[in-house]
Amino acid sequence: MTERWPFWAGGLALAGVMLLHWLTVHRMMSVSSRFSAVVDRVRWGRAEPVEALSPEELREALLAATQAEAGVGVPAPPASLPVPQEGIRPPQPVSTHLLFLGGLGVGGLLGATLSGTFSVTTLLRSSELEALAGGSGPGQAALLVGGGALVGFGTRMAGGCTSGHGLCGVSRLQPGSLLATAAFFGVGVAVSFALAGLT
Amino acid sequence: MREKVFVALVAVALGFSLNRIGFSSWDEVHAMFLFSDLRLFLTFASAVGFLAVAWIAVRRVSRPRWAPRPIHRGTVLGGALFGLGWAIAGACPAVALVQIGEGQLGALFTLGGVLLGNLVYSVVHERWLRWDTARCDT
Amino acid sequence: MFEWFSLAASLEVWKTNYCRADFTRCARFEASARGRPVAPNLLPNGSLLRKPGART
Repeated sequence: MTERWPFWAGGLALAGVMLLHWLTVHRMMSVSSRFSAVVDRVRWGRAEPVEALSPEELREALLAATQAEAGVGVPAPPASLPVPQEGIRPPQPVSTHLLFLGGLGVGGLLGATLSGTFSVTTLLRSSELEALAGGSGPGQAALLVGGGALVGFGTRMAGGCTSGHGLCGVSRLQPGSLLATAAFFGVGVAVSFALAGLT
Repeated sequence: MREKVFVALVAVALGFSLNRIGFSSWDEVHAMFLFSDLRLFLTFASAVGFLAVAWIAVRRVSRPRWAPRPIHRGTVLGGALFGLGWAIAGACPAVALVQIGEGQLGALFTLGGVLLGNLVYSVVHERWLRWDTARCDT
Repeated sequence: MFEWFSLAASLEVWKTNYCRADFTRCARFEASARGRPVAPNLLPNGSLLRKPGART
């Protein structure tokens, strides 16, 4: 058994990582939306590039577009229109998403190596998953593919996973995140008890 | 370029932390779900607590524009299906990659499943659901 | 983008024309319903916010 971080240290680390992501990248952490972006890129190809706009350029473009939309006789928005400080930012390219996903793997490798727990296994290092699959290798693989597919399907449907909804959404008391997090933890508990009953 | 460096650093830090916490272990995730070991629950809850404080501090010094996360038609069902998959595969999306890095190559199946499920939802959404996921609010 | 339209009274025209009248006409909703990524510069009428002067 390897030494694990106490809960407060783990909590501090997770919170620190989410905060660091905001402070350095100026976007909320969301792992599942990176998966979605990769899938979209494969399905739809390269998106039309988005031009970055400074707040001033955004203000001017928005004023022009609004006047065109409204026609004549509508008061122009004030020149002091408080547009967002970051203006318009192009979405991250797919290479950045892949870099992030690869970085997670490197982090796992680092953690396992530094703690002396690295080894290569063809399945997961889990006696319970093995028991659940009745000891069968293909059975475990099928459970992982099926479970993974539900994870991919559900997180895209809910619009977030443990990072975007669970940590960053719940800590901001966002209603959608609170409900989604209650749903995935609730069902996770219920299903785990059901699975434990099976084995 | 600078952004890419930060993204990579944050990802490595997250992968390392998930490994050291034990979130990437199928057995430990199940010990959490079965309430036989509350450490992971407490880790998650304390992270939420620390983050809530952090966001208050961030709001003090800047006016961040954070996308609202309203409830929409996919919130409960999507969350529930994710919970089902998490309990079966023992991995949330980030964890599948951490497991691969740890040498648990079975997570390649999980990763394939996550990508497949994501793609299937994008088709189902387009063909049949077309739900208003409140994306226009963001 | 929706929240920008709350920033000034004269931007209400977007909300009136799209968000309230018939949101299925909104290009942002349309893209999202078709499962496409929604560009950050896409306006509800389908035009794109671009650098002033660079007309297309």
